[in-house]
Amino acid sequence: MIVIPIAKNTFKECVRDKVLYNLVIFGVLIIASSLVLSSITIGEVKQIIVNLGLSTLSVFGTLIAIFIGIQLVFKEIDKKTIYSLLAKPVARHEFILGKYFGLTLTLLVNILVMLLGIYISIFYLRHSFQLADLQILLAAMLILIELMLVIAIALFFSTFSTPVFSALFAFCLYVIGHFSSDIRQYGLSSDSFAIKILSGCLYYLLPNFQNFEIISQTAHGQFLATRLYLLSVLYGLVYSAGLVLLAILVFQRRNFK
Amino acid sequence: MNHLFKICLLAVCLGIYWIQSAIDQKIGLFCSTEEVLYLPSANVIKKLSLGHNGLLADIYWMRAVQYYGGKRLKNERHFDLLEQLIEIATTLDPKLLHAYRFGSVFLAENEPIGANQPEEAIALLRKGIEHNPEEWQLHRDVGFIYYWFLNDYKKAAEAFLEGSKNPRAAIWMKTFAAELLAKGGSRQTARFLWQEVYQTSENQQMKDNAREHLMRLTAEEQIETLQVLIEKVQPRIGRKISSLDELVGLGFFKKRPVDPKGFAYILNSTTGKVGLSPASTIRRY
Repeated sequence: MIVIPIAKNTFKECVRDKVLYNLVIFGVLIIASSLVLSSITIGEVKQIIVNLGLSTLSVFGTLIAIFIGIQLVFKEIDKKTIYSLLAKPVARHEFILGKYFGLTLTLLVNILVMLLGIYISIFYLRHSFQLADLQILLAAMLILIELMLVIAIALFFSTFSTPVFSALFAFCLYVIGHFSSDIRQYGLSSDSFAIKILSGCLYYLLPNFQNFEIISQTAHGQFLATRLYLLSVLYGLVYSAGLVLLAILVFQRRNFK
Repeated sequence: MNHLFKICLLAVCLGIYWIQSAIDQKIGLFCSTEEVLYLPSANVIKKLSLGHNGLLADIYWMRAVQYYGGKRLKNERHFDLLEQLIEIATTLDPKLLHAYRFGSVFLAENEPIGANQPEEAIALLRKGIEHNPEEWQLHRDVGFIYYWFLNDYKKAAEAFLEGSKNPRAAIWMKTFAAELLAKGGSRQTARFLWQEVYQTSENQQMKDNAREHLMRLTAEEQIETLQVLIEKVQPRIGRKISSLDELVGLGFFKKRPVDPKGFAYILNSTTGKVGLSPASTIRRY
């Protein structure tokens, strides 16, 4: 299982690249919010802390997933370290999987530390926890699944494109993925059969990031229906697996001579 | 060289501070941010939020609170952006209950306390009910606005009755609706409502607002009692009373009667009407 050492190495590389420095910004933001918010707004501060914490976690995670994800393969090719790596008994699919899980591990650590920050802030505000607070953990896990999908997109593009274009494509897909229901709606309301079919295809083909929109509900302390939650997790995992498979296919066909 | 670099950096920082202060002095602090909505369509903002609509709703609600508070501090009477800010916040997060509840108070209160837009406040609460049918308090707030700000007791009673259908609703809602239809806008019903708001509000600002209204009701009652007393005493002593001090002299009070905030009531010697002292901070309608 050469995947694990590659994943560990990718994680160490991310730490060396100061990726986890974003936690400092997050820490400052969440502490400042806990202290200041009650004096500048009316309503439940905990709700804002959850919204702010999970949104920050998601935004930072997406930025890391895109900007580190697009370099995962390109960097190795650019520095020519790919030659020494592939000369060893490392299969190309193991290399891609190692890279993928390495960045996933980085984001998992990132999310866990941020979650701790959110829970500390809530405890500071209320001096207690409630059962509904468990929803924050579930929401963070769904965000992790979402980020795994973003990594898969970035990794897929990075196997055949330059970092700039990979970032552009990944970001565009991420944004379009938040408009999935609109794409479908436009198709359904159109009179043209061709547009209906095209929008239907696009709807199922493009990643649907609306499946992972859970933050607002979590902030209100509402539990997502178990079946819906599990289906969203499954969707993210299956779609990510598909993209990683595609990335492996493309990478295996690449000629490094 | 290193020192020179640090000095230059410090000079740049101070320069930026000085220039920004000069700009703020010229245009007024934050004036550019206050009257601009940036993106007026709530639905466009929701689409562009990429799933972070909850956070944006909080930000817009904070902006609404700051906007309202800023206007109150400056004693300004126009709250042009208030309704739109609350509308955006509640469209971004239709479950943002405190935006409906506090927002409706900001909109409904008379000037200069609020925007004097009770109809808009009711529309906001109706939107809240549509998205949160389980929240009976929103019906109570609708009834309250019809009662207090629009003096439409029939519609107020209907709202209380509608809210009372919720199994979690306070038990007084149904009986109060009936009482309202029978008695209309009596001071007794008004006091009951404000008392209810005062006791059930978890928020200090809401409590303070209710206390202010209760004090005003007490003052009105006391003024009426004083007026009745004067009208009864005058024929007995055979002359017009020109000052409330005379009532003290006649032994009705040990000292000059004061309002709930401690300011002495005054008697207008020409009209013969008792009223609040001009210095009194009791809220006037």
